[in-house]
Amino acid sequence: MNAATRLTGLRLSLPPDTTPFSRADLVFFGLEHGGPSVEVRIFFNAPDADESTPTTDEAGFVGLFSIFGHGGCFGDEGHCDVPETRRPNDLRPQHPLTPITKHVTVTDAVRRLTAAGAQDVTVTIVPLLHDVPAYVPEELCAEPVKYQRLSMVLYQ
Amino acid sequence: MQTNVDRMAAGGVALRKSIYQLTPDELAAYREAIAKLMARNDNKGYNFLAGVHGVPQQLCVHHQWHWLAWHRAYLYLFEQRLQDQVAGVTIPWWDWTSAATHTNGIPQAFADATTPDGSPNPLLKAPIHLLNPQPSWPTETHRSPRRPTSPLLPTSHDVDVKQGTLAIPFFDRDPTGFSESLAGYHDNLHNWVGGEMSMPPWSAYDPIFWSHHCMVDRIWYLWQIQFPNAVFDPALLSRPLVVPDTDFTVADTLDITRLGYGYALTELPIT
Repeated sequence: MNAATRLTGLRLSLPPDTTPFSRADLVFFGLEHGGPSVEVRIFFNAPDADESTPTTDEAGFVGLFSIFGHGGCFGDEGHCDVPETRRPNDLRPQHPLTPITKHVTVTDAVRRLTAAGAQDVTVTIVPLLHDVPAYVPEELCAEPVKYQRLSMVLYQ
Repeated sequence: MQTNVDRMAAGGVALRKSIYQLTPDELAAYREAIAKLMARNDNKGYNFLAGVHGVPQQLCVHHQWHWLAWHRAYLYLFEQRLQDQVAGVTIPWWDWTSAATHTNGIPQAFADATTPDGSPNPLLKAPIHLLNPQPSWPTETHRSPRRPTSPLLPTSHDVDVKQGTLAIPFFDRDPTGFSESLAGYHDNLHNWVGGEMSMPPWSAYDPIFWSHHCMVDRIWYLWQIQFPNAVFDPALLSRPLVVPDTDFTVADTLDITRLGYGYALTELPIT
């Protein structure tokens, strides 16, 4: 197992302790999934977290998700390029590699932090690659977690 | 013991069973059907069917609500092909939340190198035959499972297989929320098995794929029982599912009895 580039120093605001919510999610918008499959571990207030950090509350671990990655392109040139625009009469389903949205539920961790008076939290994202087959292009493995936007979403 | 052939002859449905609970004869029949599909090179064979999901046809649907319906139709096609080879064979489901998996990893039925008669186990791996492959592409499947203690492996806390509900509450009654949550556990399992299973273009070539998705289908079925009044978007229900040799819409897949299978352990008539 090897860790690809970690994402550190991300700061998210937390809701005031008085905000009523039943569920808190970290939401990755515009997540790409054309590269290798990745286990993505999320830590709060643990800037040094890496692949060896325990997946426990005490270590700041708050959840994980998988990118079920395409592993590269297995077609001819342009086969996996997601079109930026569509013709008005293009009624085909969306391109299979259209970026997706992923939710990671972190309700308990947010409750603990807000109860302790925290106003924000730093987020560390640790991608773990495991035995990536040789036919997956190396350049896709260096930065396997790419997204457009990360938010915390609260539900009443 | 009543067999699927008996049940189907009596007008009933064929039962899908846990891979851990197949009798030796049932496991042998499943392996025989898989091996016969693998021996075929036409559009009724294993490679063609795996290539519907992945390379070269790549018709699989993920990251949209109807991924569950698409895979139900896909498993239906695969199961019909199995029954064309050996009467009464159904796809066994792999309960990856079970204590057995969390202790021993991949079930022995898929991990054994050979069958009891000494022949290669067709559930261990599959060849990948393509017309115009690139030299770097895989020519057979392999696995690289992580430890059974890995947090990637969904637990019985994550997925309540008795109720068909997921640990993430709130969206349980909403088909879209349920579908997305289940997709997350589904993705984790693909990643946990590793190798070709971890990538959509190749995953269906691995013989364990069918039992993983049978488990996903079973959870969806249990959820359907739990929430029979769930409201679906009518536009979604009429959506066609592109799976060869079938012409299902999403609505056509909602009743598994119509598709000729069930997940009950047994049915005891009350007289």
